[in-house]
Amino acid sequence: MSAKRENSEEYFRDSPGSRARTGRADESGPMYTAGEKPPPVYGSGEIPRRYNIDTLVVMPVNADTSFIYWEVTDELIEQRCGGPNAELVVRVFEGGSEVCSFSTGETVGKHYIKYPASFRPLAAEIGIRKDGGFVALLKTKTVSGHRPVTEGLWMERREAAGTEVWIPLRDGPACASPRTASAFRRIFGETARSGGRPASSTAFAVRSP
Amino acid sequence: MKGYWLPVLHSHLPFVKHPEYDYFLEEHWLFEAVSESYIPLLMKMKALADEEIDFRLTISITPPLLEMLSDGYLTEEYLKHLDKLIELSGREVERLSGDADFLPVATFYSERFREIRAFFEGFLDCNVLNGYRHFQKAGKIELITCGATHCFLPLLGVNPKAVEVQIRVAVDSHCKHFGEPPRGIWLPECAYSEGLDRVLKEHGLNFFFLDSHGLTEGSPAPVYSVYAPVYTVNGVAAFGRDPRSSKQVWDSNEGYPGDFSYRDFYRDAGFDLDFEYIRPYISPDGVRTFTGIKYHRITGRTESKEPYDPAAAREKAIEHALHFHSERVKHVDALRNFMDRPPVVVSPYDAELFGHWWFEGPDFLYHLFREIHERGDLKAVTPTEYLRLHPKNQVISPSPSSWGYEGYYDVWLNSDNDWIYRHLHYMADTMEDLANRHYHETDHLRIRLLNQLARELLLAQSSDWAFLMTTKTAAEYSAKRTKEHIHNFNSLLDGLLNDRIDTRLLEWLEYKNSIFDDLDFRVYASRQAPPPRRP
Repeated sequence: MSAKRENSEEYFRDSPGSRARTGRADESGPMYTAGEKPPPVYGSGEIPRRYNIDTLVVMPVNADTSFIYWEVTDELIEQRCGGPNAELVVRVFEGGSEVCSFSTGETVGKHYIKYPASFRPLAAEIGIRKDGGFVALLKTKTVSGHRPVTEGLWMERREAAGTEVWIPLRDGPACASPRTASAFRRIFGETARSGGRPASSTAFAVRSP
Repeated sequence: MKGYWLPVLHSHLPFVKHPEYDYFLEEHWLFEAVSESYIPLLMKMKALADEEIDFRLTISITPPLLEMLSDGYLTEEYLKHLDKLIELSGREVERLSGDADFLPVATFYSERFREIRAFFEGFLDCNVLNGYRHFQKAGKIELITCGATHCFLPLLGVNPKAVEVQIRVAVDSHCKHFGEPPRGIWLPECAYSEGLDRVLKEHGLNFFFLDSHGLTEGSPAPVYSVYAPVYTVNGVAAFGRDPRSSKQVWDSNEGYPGDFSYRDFYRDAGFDLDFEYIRPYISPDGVRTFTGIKYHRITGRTESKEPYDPAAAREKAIEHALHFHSERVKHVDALRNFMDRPPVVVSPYDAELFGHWWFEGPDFLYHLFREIHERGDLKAVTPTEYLRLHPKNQVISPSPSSWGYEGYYDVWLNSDNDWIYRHLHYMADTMEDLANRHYHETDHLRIRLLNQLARELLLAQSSDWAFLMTTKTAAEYSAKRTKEHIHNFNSLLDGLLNDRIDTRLLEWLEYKNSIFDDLDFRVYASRQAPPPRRP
């Protein structure tokens, strides 16, 4: 296994999305040759409808929704299914359990999944149903999610001579007892989600009164 | 001293540069921000320093903004823009010479634009960044970085290299412009996902910020809520946003900026004045645009607006500054009974709120710092100062979060903008492959092309485009910009793969999309160690 793949998989364990991906860059002919085309003007470009790759990606949107997109090449379908017109099925899993599935006729597609994963890792596979079974064409990698930290762990960071020294403080300050912490959270319970900033407040977007 | 106040101003605009047009509306986002926010804020900082009033601000300046503020072409365009405003405001003083209601406002603008030009050419030596450098050196502000092109990091995480490069290039850009590495970062859109802290740590970043629920929904819950930072398991400090102080400024109904005495943002001379008269100062194609000269105050929920009174608005800003101060003191008084240290109230805002959207915002900050200085109940701090004073903190795993509507990723991933991600992920994967394959490339032209591929990828990743598609403001421009960079990337890639490099196209893109002129595509390489970071 290459270093790249090792690094990728290590990251996938932490990242909020998961993906299966094989394939190559589009190797079709050039769109320009030297001197044939003037400098492009902004907004004039077309973008590829597909990249001729096999890919399946799951990303969280919020605690209850995930987004999944895929592209499957005809070559892969023919190679694994024996024909180009198979109906594809996408199955989504949490842990080892299937949480939903859906069929699609699209080899390039997207779908939103309503499932309360709360940012726990979801995995997916795309394939066909055949002879009462399921033939997987692509699978996303399994990811792990939120890592809880041991209750009561505190750290002290000291910077000395350009180095950092971390000192674990097992019990934390005296006033940070569970009873006090509970009272604190009750009294200042308004520190729940703050609802974000006004939508009009970025990037100077509003252009007319 | 009863508690700390940690204000954060996040300064960001997407990279917009269109030398192919004599006039381009979206370039004015930068010009408006410079004249209405960045320079007025720096003028207030200078006033505080001149009066020997201590203050502390944490300011994130994103790499695209750094690059634009240092760009020669855009600086020239800004000066032209400012000269036109000076000319227009002079004509307005003449036009309104007999108008007792509006002449004082016209005179106010005429003087103000001249002051801005004098400050820009004098104290700032025609570069806004000089002001930030000055106050950083004086120990008054802490400058932090952001993502290289302000990308929504959690949604790029399927390609870990894409995330790493966004952080690495940001740190490099900060070093280039400020001469030293940043100690902290404002995560674009305040967006966090598990594992990001490790990338930050690897790039020498000691702290970042979260929206309130990023901390309070962490595991375990923080015992001091958002009123003390925590450490993540990778040893990076996370500060949480205080919802009360945010609401007092941000809230569209209850927030200070909506006070009826303040200047009305939407009533602008560009829309109100006679078309032939205003024509030289709006878009040359005849489309009316904002000029920055606004004659009315908010007045109320009415279309009938009254004349703006700068002196009355300034008095209101003082009143609001005193109110904000007293509310913070009351808050920390209540909080500190439950804590082993003075609480820290973290108040992050978009820098452009102060001056552009809320015209009197810089005055508010000025008087707030005066009050803090005179009363002594609060102490303004930077994150680095706080962590030196209080190095013992709880360790938690923060929750995935953002500061967008509903608090998660919905704003940047929904049916209006989800089409972009397949392209962004493909481009990042391709860039990583190319960087590995061409790591030892020696052909100068190919190296230039590979560097431009990296720039097009970075520019396509900006979170602004997805955001604006969702809010449907400048949505068409945002979609075009995204498509432009995807198109450019694929066009350059075709040339590389077929060994038919279009040098005219390459030169044009190097000039137009010129962000990070010293970018080395090898930052995307995973097989070999990337080139050493600049000292």
